[in-house]
This record gives sequence, structure tokens and C-alpha cells, in this order.
Amino acid sequence: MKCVLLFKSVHQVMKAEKVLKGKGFTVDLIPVPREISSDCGVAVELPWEERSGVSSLLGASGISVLETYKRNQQGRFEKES
Amino acid sequence: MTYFPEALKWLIGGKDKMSVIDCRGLACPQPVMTAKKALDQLKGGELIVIVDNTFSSNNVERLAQSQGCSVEVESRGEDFYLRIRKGKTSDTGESPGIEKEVEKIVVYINSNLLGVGDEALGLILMRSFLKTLLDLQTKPLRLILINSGVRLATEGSEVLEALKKLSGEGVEILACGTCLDFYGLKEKLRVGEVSNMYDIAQSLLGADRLIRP
Repeated sequence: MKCVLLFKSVHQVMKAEKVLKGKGFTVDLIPVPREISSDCGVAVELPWEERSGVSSLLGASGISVLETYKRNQQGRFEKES
Repeated sequence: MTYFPEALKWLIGGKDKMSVIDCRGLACPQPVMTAKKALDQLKGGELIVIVDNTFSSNNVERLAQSQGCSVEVESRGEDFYLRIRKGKTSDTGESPGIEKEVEKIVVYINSNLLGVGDEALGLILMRSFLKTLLDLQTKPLRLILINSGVRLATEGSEVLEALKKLSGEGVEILACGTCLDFYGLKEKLRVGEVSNMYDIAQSLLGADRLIRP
């Protein structure tokens, strides 16, 4: 299971990737799937287990997560509130 | 300076039934070019090509197969002996059957970046592009990596997994050998095959559709 984070711009995505990689997270950048709409076409993906604390960590670097999705084994996306 | 092995001279002379082309000691892409010349002259029957490294062996093998010939490779010591059999039916040298049925889409990637502009953005876009290819139903027949494009298929690349999956789904990945050599990455190639300009130019010209992202 994966956690997919959306941001409001590609700059934020790039910054988020850098911050998270620096902290040892296993992050990957993925194209935003068609079923999710976003202004920015790239999202950050990380293992579901690593998601806790990510938001506040990014917040501390001035990056705000726009939306969070859970991607299940079948590849389907569910929005997290 | 052009150097033709002795064996090729015999072949042109046409004395031998079973011709032997000795390409040992020749640098890429000479072996494949020499083999191509010999194959073109061959009306039918067999030809033996001797090379002294795996890259040349693979390249000559692919060339022969693309011309509709059957190939047996035997390694003897450091050398590879390729026994190439040319069927009398395939006179044009075009490969028959299978490939013709599907549209040949070739993706030509001549940089590790997608588009012209910011480098970091170009990297992200290329990652996005290759991962999206995985999700699309229409798959290209072949992906050609040229110049810094070869970086994508080497150790440490962010798209290695995506390329491996594409390769697993039957997409042929050809990485330019000269380019790998130039960047010192020949030993670091992790997906796809080392290729040469001969293969690459032939692929480009033979494509039904050529995509240059």
C-alpha cells in the first residue's frame, strides 16, 4: 500500500522530494493519475507505513500537502481526509 | 583507415562455400558492418563470423536475425563463433512475419531530460513520461537511448524500475554503446542491450511511427 501526496506546484513537489529523501524516506515521484485531478502533474509516493509525521515535517520546511491519497494493492486511489 | 580482414577478401573472391569472417581485434561498429557486407553478398548457405567480445557478438547476432537468418553462437575461449544461416527464400533481407502485424512504434530518447528548459524539471518530466508509458495500453516496440539518454538505464537512475517493467512487457530497450562508453557507464547498464549506430539507424528508418518525447 502506498501513500500519495499532492502539492499545489511542481516546485513544492521537488522541494518535498528533497526534504523527504534527506530524512531517509523511500520516496518516488509519480505522474498524477487521471482519476485524480490536480494542477500539478506530478505527485510524491511513499510507503504507507512511512506516512506519519510527513505532513508536519514538510510543514516545517514551508511545504504544504494539498491532498493525501491511499493507493491500494490494485492501484486504486482513495482520498484520505 | 579501412581495414578488411583477410577472410572477407576470400568471400568476395567467392572461393569458399563456407565463408569465415574474422572480426577479432576490430572495434565497434566494424564487426557488425563487416558482417553486414558479407551477409549482403551471401546468396544462401552459411557464414561464420568470429568476434572477440560479447557486445560484438550480440550486435552481429541481432543484425543476422533482423535479416531473417538463423544464428548459432558458440564461445571458444575468449572468442565467439557465430554460425549464420541464410535461407534462400528471404532474398530481400527483410524479416518476415511477426513484426509486420503490429505497428512499429519506436521511442527515440536522446537526452535524460524531457523537453528544453530547466534541468530539474526535465528530469521529473522524463520520469513521469516513462512511468506513464507503463500505464498505457499501446506499448512501443522499441525504446532507443542516445547520448545522455543512456543514463536512464544505468545504475542509480530513478526510472530503472519503470524501464525494467517495460522490458518485462516486451519493449526492447537499446542503449547506444558509444554513448555508454563516452560517459564511462558501460559496466553500469542495468536494463536493455548495448547497441550500435547500425541497429539504431535501422530501427529509426524501419519505424512506422517515431516518437521523440
